[in-house]
Amino acid sequence: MSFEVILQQAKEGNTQAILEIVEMYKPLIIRNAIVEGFFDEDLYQELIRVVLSCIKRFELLA
Amino acid sequence: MKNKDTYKNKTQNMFTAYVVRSVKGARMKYMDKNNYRESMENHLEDDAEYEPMIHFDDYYEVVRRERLLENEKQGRYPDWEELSDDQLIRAIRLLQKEERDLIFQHVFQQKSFDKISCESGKPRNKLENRYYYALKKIRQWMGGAE
Repeated sequence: MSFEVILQQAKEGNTQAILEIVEMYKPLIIRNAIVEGFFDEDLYQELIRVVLSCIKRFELLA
Repeated sequence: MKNKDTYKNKTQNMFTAYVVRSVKGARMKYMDKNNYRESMENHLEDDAEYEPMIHFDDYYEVVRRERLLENEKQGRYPDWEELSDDQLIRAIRLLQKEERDLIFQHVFQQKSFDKISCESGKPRNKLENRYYYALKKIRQWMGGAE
């Protein structure tokens, strides 16, 4: 399935599609959740929320 | 079909660029807030009249806005990462499509004006002027928005 289709489904609220996209960006999220060598759980949760927000706000080109 | 595949990659690239900048901005804000909280705790512990702040988040939001306004008065405007999602999204939606695309390419995809000029066939100085005019409009709208 193409990324565009998955993203569209995620924007429509499909849980599986949302999880798939979050998984794709998990390395980025984990990398940014490390503060001074330690994993910050609160920051991790906040970054997950940000990615979910990006899915909702990103506009697919018509 | 090559064009269709290119288009799909473009969507993923644009989304990735958007996510990368949003995550970077969120991390910066989180660190800033934590550092401020720690500095307040160290400072206020020494204050005999200190009362614990129940709503630190609200207080911090006030301090952050005051800091933004103070900087803008001195001609210093926030970077893209410092702008909150809601304000920025609202402001960007008011722009024309060409202006939105230009900002997206230069800010989120980090393309230089030379590269955008090559790809679009438009003169570089025209693109730059358009870009900075769009930024000016965003700042004006955000300055007036609550």
